[in-house]
Amino acid sequence: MESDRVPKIISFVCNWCSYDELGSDDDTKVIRVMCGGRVDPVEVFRALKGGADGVFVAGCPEDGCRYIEGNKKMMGRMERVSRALEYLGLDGRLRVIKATPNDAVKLPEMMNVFRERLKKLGQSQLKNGEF
Amino acid sequence: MGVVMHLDEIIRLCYQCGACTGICPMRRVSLFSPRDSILNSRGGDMDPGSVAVDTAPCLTCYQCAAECPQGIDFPEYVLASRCAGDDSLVTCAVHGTVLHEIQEIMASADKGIPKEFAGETDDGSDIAYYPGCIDYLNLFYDDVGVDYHAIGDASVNLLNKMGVKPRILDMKCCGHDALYQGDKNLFERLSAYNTKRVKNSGIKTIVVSCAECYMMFKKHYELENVNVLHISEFLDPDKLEIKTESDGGIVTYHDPCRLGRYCGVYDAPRKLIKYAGAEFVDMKHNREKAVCCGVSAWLNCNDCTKALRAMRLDEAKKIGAETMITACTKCLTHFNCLKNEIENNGVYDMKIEDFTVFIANKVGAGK
Ligand code: SF4
Ligand code: SF4
Repeated sequence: MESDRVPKIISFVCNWCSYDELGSDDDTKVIRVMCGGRVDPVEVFRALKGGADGVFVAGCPEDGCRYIEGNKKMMGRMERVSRALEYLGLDGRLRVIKATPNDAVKLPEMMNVFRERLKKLGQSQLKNGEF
Repeated sequence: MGVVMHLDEIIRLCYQCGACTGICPMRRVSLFSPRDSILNSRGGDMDPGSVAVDTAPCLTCYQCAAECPQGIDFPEYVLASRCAGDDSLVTCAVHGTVLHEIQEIMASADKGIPKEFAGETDDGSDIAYYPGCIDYLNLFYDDVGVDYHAIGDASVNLLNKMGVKPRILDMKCCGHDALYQGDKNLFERLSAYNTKRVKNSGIKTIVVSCAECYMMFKKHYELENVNVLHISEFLDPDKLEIKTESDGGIVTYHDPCRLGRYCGVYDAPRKLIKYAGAEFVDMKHNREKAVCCGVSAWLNCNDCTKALRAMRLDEAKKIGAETMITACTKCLTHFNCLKNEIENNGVYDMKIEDFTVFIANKVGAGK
């Protein structure tokens, strides 16, 4: 079912490590958060429900969080979300990255890999993605 | 949907005696009054949406309905107004509505409720087990210290002990929370899917371990020719070999409103708990008079209803209960949440356990 359609991605990225490297376009929306720990599971579900094909979340690695342990919270929450997505048959539609400001240059590349993976998964059937 | 009375009919029938407000648990802790809500909607200038807002504190616990001399089903009135209004109460739900989002996704996704549990299952069986949302609760409510998944394990193991290998159908959430939050559309999508699944599967009996799912299948679904049973009704003490341990201290049982007042299941769980060798004592308010845990469909978790939970746990403490059993995952969540609060550290040192888990441990069918 592969087509030329570019997958719609919503990404929540931490201001301190990743935001500068990623830009929004028609198919990818980058939402700046002050910390990966700010991303509530509800927001990931809402993005998918609203028609996104995938959700990309980026925050700082261990010991790199400006808010002591926001990144740990991010990992804990996103693990639960990905388990829930597995239960719902939506595995692979969430990508969580831990990046230091130094390796953040690789982020556009990682986003591309994720985009390719979503292409293979096909369009999300939750809602015809328009945003 | 099982709306039995129209709003106008209720408004006409009520003669403002106040018996409902007298019994209402919310009245003990707030100024909410079902009598007043009916009075407020008189004169026809209140649309269902405003009625829904006015009656938002109602726990739909069903205590008042039994008292009303006019036979008015106030919780039904609340439900009807929530469903008829433009705006559902979804946004008032606690925990950032996370379960509601999952249920919405579930309604359109391919998969719904996970089916992996301990014990043996058989896809050819005509007896099904429906676990409900326990695995999702495990993901997002683990901080209350309850292992929800164990309820499913215990249920399948107990059914195995009865000589039954149940089938676990690919089903979705029963839609209880969606309906009682007023999201009728979501409820209808979920129930249409589930009803079709059940009918096409040729299942004759569905065994349910959660009070809410049980009530939904009984009252809000049309599953003709399918027998819906709560696990306490299905289990036969004579077939379960109880490895009696009388060490557990006093055990009590909290009747969930969905199982008790809504469906009249009072004796079956008590019988099994007693049979399991426990020293069983009822709390002051029991059976029809059992007080609600204070939160239904994730609405109204606040200081007022917290007082209700504390009163209920105090009742259990008063009779010296070491274990309080309940058969509803939500009651389990809300009581454990209160018990584990920092300011309650050590105040309630009883165990609050699910019915199936308790029985399974007694018959050696636990994890
Ligand atoms: S008990 Fe019945 S008749 Fe009396 S005020 Fe309440 S709803 Fe009205
Ligand atoms: S259903 Fe319960 S909370 Fe609601 S009005 Fe009746 S007694 Fe009060």
